[in-house]
Amino acid sequence: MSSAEDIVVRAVTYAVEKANPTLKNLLEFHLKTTTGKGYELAYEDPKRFKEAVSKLFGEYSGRLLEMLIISYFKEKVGLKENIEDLEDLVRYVKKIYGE
Amino acid sequence: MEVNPLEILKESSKRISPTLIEYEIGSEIEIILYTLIKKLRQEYQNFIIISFHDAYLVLRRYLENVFSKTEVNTAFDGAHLISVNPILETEENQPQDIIKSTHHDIIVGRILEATSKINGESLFIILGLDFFGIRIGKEELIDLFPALVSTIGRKKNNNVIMTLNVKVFPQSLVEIVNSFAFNVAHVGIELQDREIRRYITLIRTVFLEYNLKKWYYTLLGKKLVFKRVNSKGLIF
Repeated sequence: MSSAEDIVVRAVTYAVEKANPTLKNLLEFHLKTTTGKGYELAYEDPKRFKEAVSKLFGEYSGRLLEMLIISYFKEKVGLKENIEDLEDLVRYVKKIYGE
Repeated sequence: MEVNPLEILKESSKRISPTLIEYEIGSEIEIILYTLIKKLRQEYQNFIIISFHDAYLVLRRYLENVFSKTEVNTAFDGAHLISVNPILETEENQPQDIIKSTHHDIIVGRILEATSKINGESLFIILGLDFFGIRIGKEELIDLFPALVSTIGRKKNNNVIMTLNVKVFPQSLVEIVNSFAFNVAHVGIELQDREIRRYITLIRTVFLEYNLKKWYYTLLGKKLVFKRVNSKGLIF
């Protein structure tokens, strides 16, 4: 796993645990069965990750989770840029890590 | 006869306002809210939606996937949309009022300005307070919430309904928010062998006999079906 992917996966884990820790395994199971991927999907294909999350939890909860992922970068990594969605966040992280 | 918790919430909200629906991720708050809106909409002259950070857009997108676009349009027909810090909502939903600020005094002042022109009995739906709390900060949310509730709740005939995800904020914040709501319902989930069971608990309503009662619910076709749970956790 690359550094950029690792930090995105850590952010997803943080967001899910903050929202409801009991959902961690359920979301992972859902992602694996519907897409064949785990949390790394957020890094590899953020749009598809968001669609899968919304399918399981609903659009409103999906957006909330997306905001929590972005907030991880603001609170823990010191992100200053005004990033609004996961796609932009992953693009930004890739750029920072030169990937 | 089976008692529907949303009917109780609806009647309670008509008598005393505001109403807070606390929700957890995965509880399909969209469907609960939509069903409640449909029950209340026709009883009010005005329907005002205050949406923070594109929350209304997100709500509609999901509802249009579950129900038909026509059906959703009918439910939201004639709504006055006030968008606070929108990005996509500006184009897609064409709000009547747009507020771009992160400061609670400015937001509340602008909302007061926009709503003061609206006369008659009004139903208010406030969406995305949690989005605001995550994006801008929980301290700003603590300042915003009481000011917002007292401003739009000032008129006697206003029915104010709000949603907030309570799991992502500290207990102290949830308690502050709770103390400003006269009706409180909790919409949550339980996991059973990788299956999500959704429930609603009426925490505070004017119908004391139903307070702290719990129902499981599922969406059958396009209809919400509730099953009452007794104190031993048995469904009947």
